[in-house]
Amino acid sequence: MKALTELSKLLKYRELIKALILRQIKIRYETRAWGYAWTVIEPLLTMFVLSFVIGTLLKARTENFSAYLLSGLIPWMFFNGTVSRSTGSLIGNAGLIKRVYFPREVLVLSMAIVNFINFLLSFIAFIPVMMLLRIHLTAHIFFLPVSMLMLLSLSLGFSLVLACTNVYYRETETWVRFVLQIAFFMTPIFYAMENRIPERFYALYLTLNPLAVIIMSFRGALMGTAFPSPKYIVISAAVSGIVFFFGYWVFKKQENEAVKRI
Amino acid sequence: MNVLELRNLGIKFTTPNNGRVSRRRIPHDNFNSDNFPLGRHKGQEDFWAFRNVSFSLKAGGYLGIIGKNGSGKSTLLRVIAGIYSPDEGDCTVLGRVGLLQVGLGFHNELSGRDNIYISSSILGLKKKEIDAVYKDIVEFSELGRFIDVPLKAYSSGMVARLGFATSINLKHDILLLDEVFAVGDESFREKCKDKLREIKEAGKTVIVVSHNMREVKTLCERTVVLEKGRVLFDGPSAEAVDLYVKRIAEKKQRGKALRELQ
Repeated sequence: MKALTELSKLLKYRELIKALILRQIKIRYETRAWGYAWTVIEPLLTMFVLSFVIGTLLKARTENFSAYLLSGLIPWMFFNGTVSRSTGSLIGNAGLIKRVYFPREVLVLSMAIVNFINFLLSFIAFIPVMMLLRIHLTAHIFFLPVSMLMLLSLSLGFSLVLACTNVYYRETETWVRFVLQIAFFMTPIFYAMENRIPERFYALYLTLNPLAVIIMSFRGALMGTAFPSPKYIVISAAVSGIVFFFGYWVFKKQENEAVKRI
Repeated sequence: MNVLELRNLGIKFTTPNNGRVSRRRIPHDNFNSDNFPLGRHKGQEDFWAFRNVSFSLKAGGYLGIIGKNGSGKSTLLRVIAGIYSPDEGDCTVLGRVGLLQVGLGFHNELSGRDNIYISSSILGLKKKEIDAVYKDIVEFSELGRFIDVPLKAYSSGMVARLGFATSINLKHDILLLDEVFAVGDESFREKCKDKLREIKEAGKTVIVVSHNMREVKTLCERTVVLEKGRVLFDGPSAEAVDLYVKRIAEKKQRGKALRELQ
């Protein structure tokens, strides 16, 4: 409940959030020759590399492999980008934090929103691939907002805790990079769970890895592939929600002390 | 009517050790805010930046704060600005309060125009308010056509002028100044002083931290002398400056005597 009142306080700082988002976006894209096109180019390039290595060289067993890959890569890149960039967001903005007051979760939040905008733009990359491979949208697409919400809350929760921890232990950033690499392989992005995980481990895998469920439901919504069973969707939604509120709670509890240590 | 009231204010810092040395916890308080997340580490010490600081301030006029390096002046301003939350006592502020920050949130890759908008938003101005003062800022900073060029192409004087011009338009009731007079050439400094006089005439309250005794004497009616984190003197500026200068001279003398003794 307290988290909700804290969240509503953020409304007062929306001008600031807007400014920070604008600053991030301008720095990230307007300083590059190809500018905003990078939001589309980046996932496509990753897709080409992976679909060549895994799809062609290693002979993937999944049909429509490029589209399959891209539908997992786009949400993954959001998660990866948000968590890894947010981890350094308190340390990286020491200049702001030590000089003006604002609720510091604004920094993590604006980082997540920048990545979310980037994520929405990346969907443009998906359109030509879908047309090329003749994949038709189904009614499943209406599940997309639910998956997005789960993804957003999971990413924000982790980001908040890690941003805070990074103030105390600077190596958090290094660990995060490493753990994210493991998470990439633990999540069905370039493989199908049905092909790689023995059936008796499904329950364990889907319970412990909410990101896997989220990415599978993304793919289901976009390409009409099989959804994980509703039970696991409910579990992951609950886990994502808990991670978010826990992250926010830790962040608020540590904020004042962390500011003094930056 | 007091706009600012400090009662027994104290703030404590813990020396950082980046989580090194030892992971031994103090058993009885495993999880409180100052030993997150693995407990207090060996080699960490608390120290009070200041303690038992009390004074109050009426609306309008200038208050000076002087003291040697490390006497807690800047930290005190940060507590008043809400950046640090006090560990002891409390600090009540009526109205908007903020530190005057030269070049807050400026980024080298962005143009002067972008920086004005972003920096002002971080300082708490709304888009419309910025539109209203934008022309003045450009004029005040004497940048002319360079306003659309990225900051990295500016000379340091240009950046400083833009920074000052942007920050001086704050809509705050209490303005905190921490050594801001060391900017730009002589004529620009004169302009800054005019601006500060304007602010004074507008009936705003200003708190100045400075090492420039002449400035403190001419600008402020009242001055607080801080020494080692406590209030040594609080009263008319002329007396405060005399006392402070005498303290320093005494200390020098004592050092000299000590050296001669050896």
